[in-house]
Amino acid sequence: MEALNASLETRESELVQKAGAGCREAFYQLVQPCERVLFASAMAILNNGADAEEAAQEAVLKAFANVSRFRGECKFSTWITQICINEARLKIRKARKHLYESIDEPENGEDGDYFPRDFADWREIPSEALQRKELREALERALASLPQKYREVLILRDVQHLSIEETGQILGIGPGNVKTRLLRARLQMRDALAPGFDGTWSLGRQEYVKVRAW
Amino acid sequence: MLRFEPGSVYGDGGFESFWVHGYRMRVIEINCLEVWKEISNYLDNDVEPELRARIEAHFKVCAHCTAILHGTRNVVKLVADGMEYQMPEGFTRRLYDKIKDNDVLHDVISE
Repeated sequence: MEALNASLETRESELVQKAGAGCREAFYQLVQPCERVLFASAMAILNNGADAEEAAQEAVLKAFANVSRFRGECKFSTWITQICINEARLKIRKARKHLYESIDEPENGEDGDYFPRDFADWREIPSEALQRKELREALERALASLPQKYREVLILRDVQHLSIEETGQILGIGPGNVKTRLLRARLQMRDALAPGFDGTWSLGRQEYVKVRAW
Repeated sequence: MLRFEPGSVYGDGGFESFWVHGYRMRVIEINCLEVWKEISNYLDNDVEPELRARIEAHFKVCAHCTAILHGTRNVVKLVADGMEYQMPEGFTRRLYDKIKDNDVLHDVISE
């Protein structure tokens, strides 16, 4: 495994060198495996397919223009995802500038404790249920309701399955912060979804059991 | 991984316990708030064995926290399975074209 990793790294640095010399084909080979994470991370911020595609494209062009500055201190995918997140953040800031009132999230301290609002136990929602439009929509709504900084972490960790270290590198925050935000994101997702599961999602009787002892 | 074996681990003083290198480790209670703080790390298998044992002892007697655990685990799974964003049709091709044809790049590169 280590040998494989080492050879992948060598291959990556070769491609980076070629790309730095202007080879578009080499650059594309670097970018292609990152497409999905680029799109998803832009979506996490922009919540709109067309805008996210634009941000991803701009990030890719910026990365190409600057690839000779990439020093291999992190993985190429981490580096280019950082650029993409920055592009998406710029875009959303521009879009918000026209609004009269700031729609920035209220700063609730990172350290404050989060209290779950709902204690319903809905342990078994089979993933097959995702084929049902309502559940997908409920998921999307719940995700959209999260503050941006929590959504970013949730997408990178739970959708793209990046490690805590990589997620922190991309977002420019420490591992402790990644964990705190992820906790908040997951608990808030749970709260946002739980009311929707008021029996209506369950396919059988055992799947939704209310536990509200207080 | 440490596992409780019902029947063998309940011992003196009503504490749950587990064994490490022949020493009996008693599990001291923690409260709900502390469990909630760690629930995400717990799901990621990112808590020390001792804390893990405490959390698991808590789940055994606390229906609320167990409900939150189940719900949160479910959310993680649903998000992973359900939120794979569909990339817009033609995304890959347009990205490739951008790299191939962009004039701005030409300028940057020929500088």
